[in-house]
Amino acid sequence: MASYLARRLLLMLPTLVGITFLVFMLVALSPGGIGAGLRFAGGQMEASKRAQQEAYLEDRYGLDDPAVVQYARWLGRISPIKIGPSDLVAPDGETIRPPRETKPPPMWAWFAPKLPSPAAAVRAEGVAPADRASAYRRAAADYATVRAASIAANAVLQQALAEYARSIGRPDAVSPKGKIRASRLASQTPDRSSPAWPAAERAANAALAAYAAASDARARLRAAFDAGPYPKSGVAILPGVRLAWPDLGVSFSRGRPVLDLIGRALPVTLLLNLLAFPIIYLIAIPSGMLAATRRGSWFDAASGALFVALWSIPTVWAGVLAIGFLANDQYLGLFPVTGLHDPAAQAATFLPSTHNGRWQPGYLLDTLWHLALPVSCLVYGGFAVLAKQTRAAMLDNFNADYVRTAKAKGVAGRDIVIHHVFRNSLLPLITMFVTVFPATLAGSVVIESVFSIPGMGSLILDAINLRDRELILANTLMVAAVNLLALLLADVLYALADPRVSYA
Amino acid sequence: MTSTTPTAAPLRAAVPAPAPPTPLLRVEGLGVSFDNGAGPRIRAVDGAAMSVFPGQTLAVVGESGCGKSVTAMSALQLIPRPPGRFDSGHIYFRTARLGASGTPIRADAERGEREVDLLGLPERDIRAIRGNEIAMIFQEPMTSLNPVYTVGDQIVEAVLLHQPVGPSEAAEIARQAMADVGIPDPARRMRAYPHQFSGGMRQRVMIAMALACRPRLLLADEPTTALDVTIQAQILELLRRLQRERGMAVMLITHALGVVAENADVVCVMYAGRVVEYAPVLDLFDRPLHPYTRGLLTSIPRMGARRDRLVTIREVVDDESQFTGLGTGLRPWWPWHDPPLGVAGGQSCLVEVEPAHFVGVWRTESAAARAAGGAPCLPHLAQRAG
Amino acid sequence: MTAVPSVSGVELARGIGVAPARGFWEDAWRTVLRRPAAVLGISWIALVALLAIWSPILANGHPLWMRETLADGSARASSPLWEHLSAVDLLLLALGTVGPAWMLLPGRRGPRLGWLLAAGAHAALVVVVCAVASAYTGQRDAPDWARRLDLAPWFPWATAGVASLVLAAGLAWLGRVRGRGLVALAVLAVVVAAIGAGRWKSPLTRYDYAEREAAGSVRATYTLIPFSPDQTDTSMYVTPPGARSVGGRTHLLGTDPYGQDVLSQMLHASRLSISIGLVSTGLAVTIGVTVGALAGYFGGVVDLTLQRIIEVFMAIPVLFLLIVAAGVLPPELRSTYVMMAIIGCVTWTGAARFTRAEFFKLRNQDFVQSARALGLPLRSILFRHMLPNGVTPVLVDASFAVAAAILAEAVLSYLGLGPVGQPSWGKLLSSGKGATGTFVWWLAVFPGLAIFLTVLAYNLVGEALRDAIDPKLKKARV
Repeated sequence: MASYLARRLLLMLPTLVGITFLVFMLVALSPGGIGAGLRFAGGQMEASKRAQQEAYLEDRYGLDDPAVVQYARWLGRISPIKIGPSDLVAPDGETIRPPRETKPPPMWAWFAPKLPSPAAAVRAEGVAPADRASAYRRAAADYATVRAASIAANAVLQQALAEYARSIGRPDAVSPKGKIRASRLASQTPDRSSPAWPAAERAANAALAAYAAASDARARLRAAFDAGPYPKSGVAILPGVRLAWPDLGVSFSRGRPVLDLIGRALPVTLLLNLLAFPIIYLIAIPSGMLAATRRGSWFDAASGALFVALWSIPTVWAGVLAIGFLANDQYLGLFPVTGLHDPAAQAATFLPSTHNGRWQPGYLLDTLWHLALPVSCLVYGGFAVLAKQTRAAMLDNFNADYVRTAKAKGVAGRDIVIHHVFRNSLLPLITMFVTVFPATLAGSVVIESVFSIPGMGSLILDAINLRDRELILANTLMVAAVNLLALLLADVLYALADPRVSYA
Repeated sequence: MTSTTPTAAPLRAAVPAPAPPTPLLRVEGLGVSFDNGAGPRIRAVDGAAMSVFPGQTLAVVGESGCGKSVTAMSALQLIPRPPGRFDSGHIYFRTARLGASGTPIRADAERGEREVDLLGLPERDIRAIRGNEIAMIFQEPMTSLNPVYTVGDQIVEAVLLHQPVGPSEAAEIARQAMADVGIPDPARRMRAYPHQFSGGMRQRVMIAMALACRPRLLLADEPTTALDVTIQAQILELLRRLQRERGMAVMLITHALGVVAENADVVCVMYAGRVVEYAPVLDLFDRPLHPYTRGLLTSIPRMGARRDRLVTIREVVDDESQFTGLGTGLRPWWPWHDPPLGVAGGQSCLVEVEPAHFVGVWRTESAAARAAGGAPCLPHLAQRAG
Repeated sequence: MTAVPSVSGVELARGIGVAPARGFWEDAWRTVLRRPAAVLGISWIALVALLAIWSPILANGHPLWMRETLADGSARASSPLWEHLSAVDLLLLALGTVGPAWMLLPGRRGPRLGWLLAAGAHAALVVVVCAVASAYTGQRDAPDWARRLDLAPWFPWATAGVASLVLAAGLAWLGRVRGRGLVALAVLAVVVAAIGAGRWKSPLTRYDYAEREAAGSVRATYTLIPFSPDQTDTSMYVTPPGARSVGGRTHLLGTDPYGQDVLSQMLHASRLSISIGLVSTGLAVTIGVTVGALAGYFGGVVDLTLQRIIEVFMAIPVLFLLIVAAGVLPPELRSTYVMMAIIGCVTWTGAARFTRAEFFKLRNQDFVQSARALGLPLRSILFRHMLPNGVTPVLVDASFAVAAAILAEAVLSYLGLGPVGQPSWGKLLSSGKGATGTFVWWLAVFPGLAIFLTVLAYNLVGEALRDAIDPKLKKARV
């Protein structure tokens, strides 16, 4: 069993990589691309300022690299096995990576014979750790400033080059976003007589100077990094290979670590599902069994019709009607309309209590009261599907040979139903979990959106609307992992329930 | 139906019978039909009659779909209803177990036994009979055991149902039952699941389960059809041994005539839901009277008999001349032929054409006069197995 | 003995009490029709399909008939409704009236169904070509050559005519049409081309008839529901059912937050609901069957690879993928056709799994071996010999998939990720919650009910179909 589990868990990895890649490429290849939400931020800025701002943001989040490179970088960050120079962990828990290169100015070969090489930095040896840390922090702040200047200078050069390209009649060398397509111009000798050339040359000189400063600063920062101002992250298992916690990155739309966001949203979604599932199974199995044992009776016919009807009710409709008629103050107003808690409940006791002579529902009851409608909306569909399947599985087994054997032994009807028929019907019911769980998980996204519950559903919808790369990838990863683990659980349960299946 | 069953005159008069033995099980005029969706109901059994005496082996022979399994399953009310339905007839069984709730048909005060109609028994009473007095084993040992329980559990379940014992005693009885059917290392094998047994071993488990409560009648529904030839022989030998040791009656349902020849005392040949011939095994093999039986026997390949090709049943029954010679006014019943003039509703009946040799004929006037009133009874053969 | 007449096995074999044998599908279909629930379902779907075809005539803000007094005192009669019908409307009306009538004529129906399907496919493709060409040349920042084409009077006729003739020729070649068939195809091509070119661009719409009537310059006769789905009325925001607008016309099911008539939108949205379910499921089945057939037939490395792909698609719930795929598209790209493609491309895994399992069973059977031994091409083995034997579970599943696709469209529309530029039941439903938190019951109840009934109808038909086919499958497997 252990080796089977290990194999299944290992097989999950390529699937997880596959699904995150698929989703990421969908986002990356769509019109607008990744981080489209970011670009609208500086609405009224003047064009050059805006280009510099965008260039800075793109650089910061690595958005100017090809999509596949961005994905590979993300994969490297979430991989628990790290190869190469190890990251450091600052005392506040922030992961510090080796400083990144600064990009050279576009088309620099037109303006300079070679790129300025960084001045050799002195490696600080034998300095106290506290001093090394402060030296690192100084160098980091320094590099950030100079690098930003270099990027801004590059952006100015971009615009100047674009202007130049248009002036020499090559608008095709300018991308729709106003960037220069270096490969289309690289083979040409520059036309120095163009009216746009002097401006480009000025911008290039500024960019080259900024680049030189940036690469100097980077070399100093690298030296400060290599001096080891902070402890290394993770555990070394082989030379050059370390084991470290996956890093899900920082959401660019919310500016907070993705793990924090998911850490708040996932429990809510799981709570919804974990409440819904026992209820689904507890209602579905008895009603399916009852329908099967009374095959052809009015109960069977009525419950069958009810199951199909319930199964056909769109979740959004049920949710909107439930809110409208049951929760909204316009009509009954029995339940809270939105959210997971009453604002007041946060301060209240967990269990019901009396405060100042007034009865308070407490945190638990308040949460349950808020969850009543969402969970009901989540339950009815899965319940109907499962009850139908229970009935079908029971009917299949009623005609099985071993049921005839049990009858021939003189086993009473009820014992046959429970001992023989139901015990065997459990197997297809466990298999059904594979269908019901993803559907319910997806259903909870809709339910969360309808009832404004801050779970994974709303997180994912926001992430997609804002093209927040980190959030989308992390959400996909989480949902897929939860889903795949649930399916694995179903397989393990199946093996436990059916002696014929062995995963030894 | 009346209880006046025609008793054949003893063939071998050397057997003195102080009181004529009474049959353990009598099937009389049984009719069972099944719902067929939109079409008319299908009559699977259409007036079958037979009887089994204590210690006797009755072989019911016929091709697939002739109603032999349905007859046996009707005795335990194992026919799913609906779609099945008992249209007519009775299956009488002699038992001492049923209390006041049973429906006595005929009381035998001397032995404390009464005859009850199994078809009419309420669910509670038939459950007391099933597995306890009448046990049944089935054709498919592969699927007849519940895959999710150990075989020990399944035998213990039967023991606990019918015997006033605790779980540990029941386990001991189950172990003994498995040892009796020749399963090696029964204490360990009890904890195994059905899929861990071979087909032959599974059938042994089925037999152990059926016989754990020492039934008086065993309905064996093609117990060896799904098994290898060598395993078949072992299983049949096992059944014979257990029958001898326990004095149990067996209704052996099969379509293998070799099995019949070796195991049966009396043979009942069925076709299309009716009995076509009913006779002691030697008489039947020596002098088959119904054309269908004759076809059945000629179609068996024989060692030493050199033939270019086998004769099919069809070739025999298509031969009009085969349908004569039973005697005046008697014409063998054959559903593929139209009934002779004067036979209402295609009715047939069993007539004792020769002593202790019954043949199914069209119910003409002269046949009706000689018809057996209830189930054909061959009591003298009851002693043979005992 | 028995009240119901009964027969014995031999009598059955002799032909007594035997119903005449029918084909597999005919038998299954008859079994389905014996279930009242399934008949109700089929009737509802047929009703929605009828409404989908007739909706532009049933509900339209343009008058059916209008008599205009011009400035010089002369009168002019016209039918604005007819002038505003789009090419799709006209083709659907033509096919939707001729088709069923033709199918109801006695005689062999198979070839006629084939002809209808071919005509439908031809018309649909021509319309799509025309729509794309017209949209590209008509866009604001089109290149100069495109803009010049847009102004050329011959361009619509040339595009529609060439597209129609080429497609018709393709159909003739594919279906090996000869003789009178060719003539019929030519007539079809000309009619479709005329419709496509004649309705190249939709005329500018202004629903100012009420004002003009009030001014006395116009006398208009309206159809049953005198509102178009895109006709906004600024004085009628969120009015309850039965509200009367200017000119005394009643909004039977009220209006939405844009002042648009709910009933009219619902009627026009039925076209989307019918088509999105069928087209996306058709696409999903096509992809799934192809992938599943290849995986099941070849096994080995092909199967392993395709299985991994299927697993990747199944790693997260379908709805997530749908939300991502629809969410990354900017609204102007989320047309009905794109949504159909998205739903189809995301939901194909079920069909692939069913087909793969069936083909695994089939590939070692004798008829497949013999087809291979005969040297038949792979395409023929896969799709002519194996597919008809293995497609039944896929088809049963497909009717549930249609229901699921309609639900998916509703959910996506509710989340604001649905098709843009067309009324949809889901979109109406989403406006029922109200932006300010007030609940608008008529916007929630009626569209929701329409979705529910349609989904229910497909599920009922699917259930009946499965019950009719399943026992046969079991029997066949024994």
